[in-house]
Amino acid sequence: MSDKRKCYILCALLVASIGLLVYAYNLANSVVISL
Amino acid sequence: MKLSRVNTILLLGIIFVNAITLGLPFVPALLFSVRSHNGAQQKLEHALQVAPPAHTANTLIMPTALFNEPVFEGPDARTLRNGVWHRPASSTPDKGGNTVFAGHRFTYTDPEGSFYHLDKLKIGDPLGLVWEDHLYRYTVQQVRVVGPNETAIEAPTVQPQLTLYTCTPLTLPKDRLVVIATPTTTVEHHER
Repeated sequence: MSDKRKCYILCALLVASIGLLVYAYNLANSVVISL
Repeated sequence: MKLSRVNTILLLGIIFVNAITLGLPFVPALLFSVRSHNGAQQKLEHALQVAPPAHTANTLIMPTALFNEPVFEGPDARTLRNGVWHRPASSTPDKGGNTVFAGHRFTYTDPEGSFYHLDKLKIGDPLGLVWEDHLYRYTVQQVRVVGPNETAIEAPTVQPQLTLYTCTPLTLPKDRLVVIATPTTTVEHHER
């Protein structure tokens, strides 16, 4: 695999990882018991 | 810069970001094991033996969970951002009945949520609640997991009890971990 192709894949993975982290930070898990 | 070097930096970035995402939920557990060797539990158990100073904020004390923090009143769940939330529809220790507190287990903005270590509590463990300058002592009677719609845990009770709950399991929480304690003794404050 060429370095250029690897670079594209790694960039995509990094963006996806950061996206997952941002999603996790904003995840508001509801603690409260409710119906 | 050579492209192979850029790729190395990108790879390190991916590892770093994912290490935070996956590892942060377990950092408080590591810190807890360090703190538990410093006699913190004994200090909190001692706090349950002495009367609280006058004008102490309403505070929940859980020696087993190394927890000694104020509790907060508020109309809605946004109060949880401050810490332990006294459920407004529930009772208070001085009135008897079911006094209910909820707290976050884990959030990325506050990894060691108020009730992160609630699962450390076992039946028979002592708890304390400083409320309106009185120290109410409790003993844990039940530790159980219920569904997120199990409103019965917040229902009024005839006998006085303390109900604490949070999310469980730690990651991808779908249930609620509930600790129920019953009162043992009450101590009034002492003047400074």
